[in-house]
Amino acid sequence: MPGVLALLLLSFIRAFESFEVPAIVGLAGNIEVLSTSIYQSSRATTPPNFGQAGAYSVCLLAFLACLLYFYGRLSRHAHRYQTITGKGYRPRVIDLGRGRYASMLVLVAILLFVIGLPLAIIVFVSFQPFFGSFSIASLSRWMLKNYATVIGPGFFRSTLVNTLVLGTVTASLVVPFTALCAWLAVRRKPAAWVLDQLATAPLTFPSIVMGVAFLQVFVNLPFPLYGTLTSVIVASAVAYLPYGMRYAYAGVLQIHSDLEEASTASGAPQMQTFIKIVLPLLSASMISCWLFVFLLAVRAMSLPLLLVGPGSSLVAVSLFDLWQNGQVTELAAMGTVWVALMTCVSGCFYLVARRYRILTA
Amino acid sequence: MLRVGNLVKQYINEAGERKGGVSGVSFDVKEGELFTLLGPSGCGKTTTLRSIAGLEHPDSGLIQLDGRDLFDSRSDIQLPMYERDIGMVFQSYAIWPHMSVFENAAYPLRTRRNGHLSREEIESRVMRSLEMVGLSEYRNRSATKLSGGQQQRLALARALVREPKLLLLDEPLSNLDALLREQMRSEIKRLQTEWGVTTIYVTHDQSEAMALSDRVAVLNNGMIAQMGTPIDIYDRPRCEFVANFIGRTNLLRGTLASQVRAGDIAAVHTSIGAIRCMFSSSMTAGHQISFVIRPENIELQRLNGVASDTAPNSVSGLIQGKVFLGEVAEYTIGVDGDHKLIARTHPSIGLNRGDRVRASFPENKVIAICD
Repeated sequence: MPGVLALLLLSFIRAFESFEVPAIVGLAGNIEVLSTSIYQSSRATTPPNFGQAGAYSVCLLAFLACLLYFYGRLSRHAHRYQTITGKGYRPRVIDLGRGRYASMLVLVAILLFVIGLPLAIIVFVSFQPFFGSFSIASLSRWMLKNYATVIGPGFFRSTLVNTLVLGTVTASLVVPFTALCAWLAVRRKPAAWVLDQLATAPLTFPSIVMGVAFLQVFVNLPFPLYGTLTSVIVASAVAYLPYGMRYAYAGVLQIHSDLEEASTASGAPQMQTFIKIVLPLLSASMISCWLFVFLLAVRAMSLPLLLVGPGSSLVAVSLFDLWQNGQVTELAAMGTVWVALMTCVSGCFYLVARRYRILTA
Repeated sequence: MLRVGNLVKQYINEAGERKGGVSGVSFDVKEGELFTLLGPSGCGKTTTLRSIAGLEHPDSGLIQLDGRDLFDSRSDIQLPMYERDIGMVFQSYAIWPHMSVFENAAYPLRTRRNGHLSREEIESRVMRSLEMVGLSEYRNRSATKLSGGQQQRLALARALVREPKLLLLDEPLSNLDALLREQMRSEIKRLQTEWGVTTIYVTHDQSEAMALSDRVAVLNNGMIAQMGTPIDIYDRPRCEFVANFIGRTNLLRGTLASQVRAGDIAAVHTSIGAIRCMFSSSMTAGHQISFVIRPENIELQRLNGVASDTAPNSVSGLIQGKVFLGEVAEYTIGVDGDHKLIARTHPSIGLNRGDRVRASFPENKVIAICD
């Protein structure tokens, strides 16, 4: 029961801080929620009212802090209800008999409906000159102009490159940093719990609030950082630290401390032990962590939304802008290219992981 | 060579109770000696070993290796482990899975402090230690593809490759199956003798300790209960704990009839009659004492009909149980109601349950515990 309650609360929190859906669906009908109000007051009004955005942010944060407190209390005793223990856990294969065809059909249908259908519509629209419903006549209007716009040199291409750079650099910053933090925290080095707490703190911030916070910081910095890709990278790296931390933490827990002590006994100081023993043994979780952070960073919209400038456009933000401008067919083309690219990235990682036997299915 | 003086390291659990650790352990280990810390789990043997290694920070005490202070609570010296020149083998072997056999063994030579070694030097020293443990042909194999016994050998090669002043072995055989354990036991003894390295061996298995050690310290509750050669500890246990922990034993209690001096043989009155035993220290008459008789020192003789003359240091009884152990048979003998004696003899004696026997034991093999 506490599990269900905690889940309920968590979904509530997630829905409360979500930005994308209310922004795309709600703004058109003038339905404003807190998260979109923050955006409206700092972007859509001229001049931007940062004070109002800040006030909204504090309200949202305060409310979420209360909810998270209750969530923490609910899930604190979660281990009492755990059903999977480390010892002798074997997933059991249930023979469904004839039912397996039916269940397979249902699963495929759900997949098709949830992922296949929207994707198909996006792909369809991307070949159209204007946004319209599917008809026989529309088939005769196939064209590749949208793709030419997206892939050809110019704004869209630089957007793609920017986004890839953002993902790569963010992931490459987060992974080694959290590996070190997690190691220090797991091995209970003095004061390492402070690092752990600091690296976990960004989890409590809704990303739109995080965006406002970083916006204020960058605007007030003496050197010009506002609007640059670097500023987005810094914000993303901070925002995704907690995820990196969880991956690395679990990874370090799997390394028996004897392996490190054996290194110390061999005459290696701490740092050498970390580099020669801990890092290679962590490589599996670090690779999956890298991919995870990369994907999070490139698809995030609400965090970079307030931070990007003319020279630092990103795919997710551009897609949002395209939507607001009504350029649905370009949006579709760009979305298709992007989905294809990301599928490739995941595929590559899967191959790499399997090659080094990281994934044990 | 190694001196441990009044070492204290206590652990307090959440409830505030003392749990494990050591409270004042002192011993000296001589050059080239194999010294064993023996005791049940939680007796403090591993804490002592880890303190010597530098993996634990003791509360107080002194640890000196070869005249150098490794730890001294009075002058606040705590040398980090990587500067202690100690090789260690862990219970879990701790073989690094991301390295080959050769790389595992070469690691201690490639640490910063040994950075000046040439490639050829490393190669020859690693191969020498791999040959010692019979792993030279596996040098390029991935360490994870070794069997348990091979991983153990590799751990030994890795610990010895730097030719450390001191080798620490933390229950190195406890993860091996019985046959392999005996093989590795003699292997360790051979390696230790050949390299002549001073070794501290930690185990809870008394037969390992007996077979390997030059000297043994039996630990109980964070203190050394007795220290001596294996024979000394087996034949002359100084307290009931040691008598019970080392080998099978019959422990009896009684009242001392007369005053004794060290080396005397005197009678002790027990509920199964007067039994004469060896005293290693002087004691006044009327003392409540306990004494031990090892099962293999009891001689059994079948009694036909009525019990005849009663010889000194013998009791008659009924065989209540028999366990065939291969090279010996172990009998449980019921004496005078509630008392039980365990005796071990060659199985060819052919006694069975329900047989009446006379159990006799030579008086110099009955050892009084004078604690």
